[in-house]
Amino acid sequence: MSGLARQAVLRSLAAIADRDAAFNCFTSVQPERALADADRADRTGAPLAGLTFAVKNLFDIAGEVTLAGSIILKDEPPAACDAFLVERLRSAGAALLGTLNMDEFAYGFSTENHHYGPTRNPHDPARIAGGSSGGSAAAVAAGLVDVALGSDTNGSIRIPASLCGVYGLKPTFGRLSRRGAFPFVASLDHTGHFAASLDDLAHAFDAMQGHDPEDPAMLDMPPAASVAALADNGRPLRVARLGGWFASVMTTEVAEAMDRIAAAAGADRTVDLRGAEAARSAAFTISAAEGGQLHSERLRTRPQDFDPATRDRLFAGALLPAAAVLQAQRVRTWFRDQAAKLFAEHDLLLAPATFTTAPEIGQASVTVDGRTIPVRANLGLYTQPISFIGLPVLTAPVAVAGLPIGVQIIAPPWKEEAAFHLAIRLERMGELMVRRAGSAGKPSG
Amino acid sequence: MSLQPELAERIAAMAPLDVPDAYAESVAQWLDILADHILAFSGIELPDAVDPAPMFRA
Repeated sequence: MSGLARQAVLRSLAAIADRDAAFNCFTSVQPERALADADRADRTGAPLAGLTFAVKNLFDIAGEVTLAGSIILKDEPPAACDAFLVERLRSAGAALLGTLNMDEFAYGFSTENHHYGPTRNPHDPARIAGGSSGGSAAAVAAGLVDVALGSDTNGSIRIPASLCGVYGLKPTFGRLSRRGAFPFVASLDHTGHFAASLDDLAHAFDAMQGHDPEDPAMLDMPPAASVAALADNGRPLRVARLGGWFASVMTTEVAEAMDRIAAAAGADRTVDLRGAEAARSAAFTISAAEGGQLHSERLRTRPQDFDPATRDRLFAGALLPAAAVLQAQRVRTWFRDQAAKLFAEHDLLLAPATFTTAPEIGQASVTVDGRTIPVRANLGLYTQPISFIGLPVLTAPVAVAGLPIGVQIIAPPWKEEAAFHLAIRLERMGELMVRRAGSAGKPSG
Repeated sequence: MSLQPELAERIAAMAPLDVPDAYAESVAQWLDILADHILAFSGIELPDAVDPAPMFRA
């Protein structure tokens, strides 16, 4: 008789065989590696035995070429070792199933990848999964794996978590190592993950934490005890809702979901995070410039091999004057201080993760209150200002009928536990809910 | 004052990129969008110093 971990991997493999073709989540599946991981976990009784996971295909896996959603990197040598977070999860007993689709070089919010095709939303395959970690969110929503790794520079975990209706965690900048994750914007890149339950989200988070001196962004902080935080201690939380920029445009469905969550969380105050629009614009500027610089040699030598949607933005970014980029960096210091003022009076802040539910694949714009809002450029409206200063965010699926909607639970730096406290409280009240399009591994909830 | 030709050549070699004609129109559109974003934060009174690690620290 096979062990629990092996059974979980076999269920995941069957689900992938059955459903992945409909959603296009995976770019590679590695059954032998997954079964070996599972057998080792069954033998040793490792703490995460029975947990299945997959990774956005910008994370290194030993022996595999890291593609980062491109074809340009296909000729690069295979990775010599696993990325830090991959190694952490496998060491803890989780079984690695494979790699997941994404926007090319993580520069996008929709996972409509020119080379590998769009990832489809498991709640409606005619719609996008969000991005850039769209394959990761969709794989969890479709019940193909329990946990998926992603990265978030401007919203790339929070946006697909919202549109696919799963939990997503973007921890504090510097909390989780980025070693072995192909970079996009080094001064803004975060790593994090998705799960269909708070329990899986917390267990994976606690397993992945730990100081890595090889990532210069990391600080050697005491770990967040997120599993312990799920045993809610009932302490009062001062929760406020972000207004101003964060309420400037949203569909009726998103507005109703935010009202409901704010009421349940006791967020009877609406506060303004001053400078959010400027922060978003500065994030846009830094991302374009750093991304353009990172890829400048490839733009010079192989422009025809880029996804056109990525290439032209990178070209533009590479042409920006240094003065604009330095000014954008100054905005970060100023905006960080604006956020600190709010956290002097509040434990948590709430904001929508996206202004709309998932648009259709190829849809260029959404009409809200008679205004035409371009999709690709604006899915990050409410996420970009927050990651710009590295605040931790737990994106949680609101229990609504119809297409999923996520709320950002924004905590002070290094206080991820507070977001877990509120999330478990809201889940127990029935205000948060993951609806999976199938099931694999452990049941959700 | 004009630069010595050799120096001008070296500076030109540092110019970021030549945009192929086929992409020029689309790149120009993105530059236009980026210019709007840069204007959006140009009116704020900001500190002179550039913090090399502007995220929250411990």
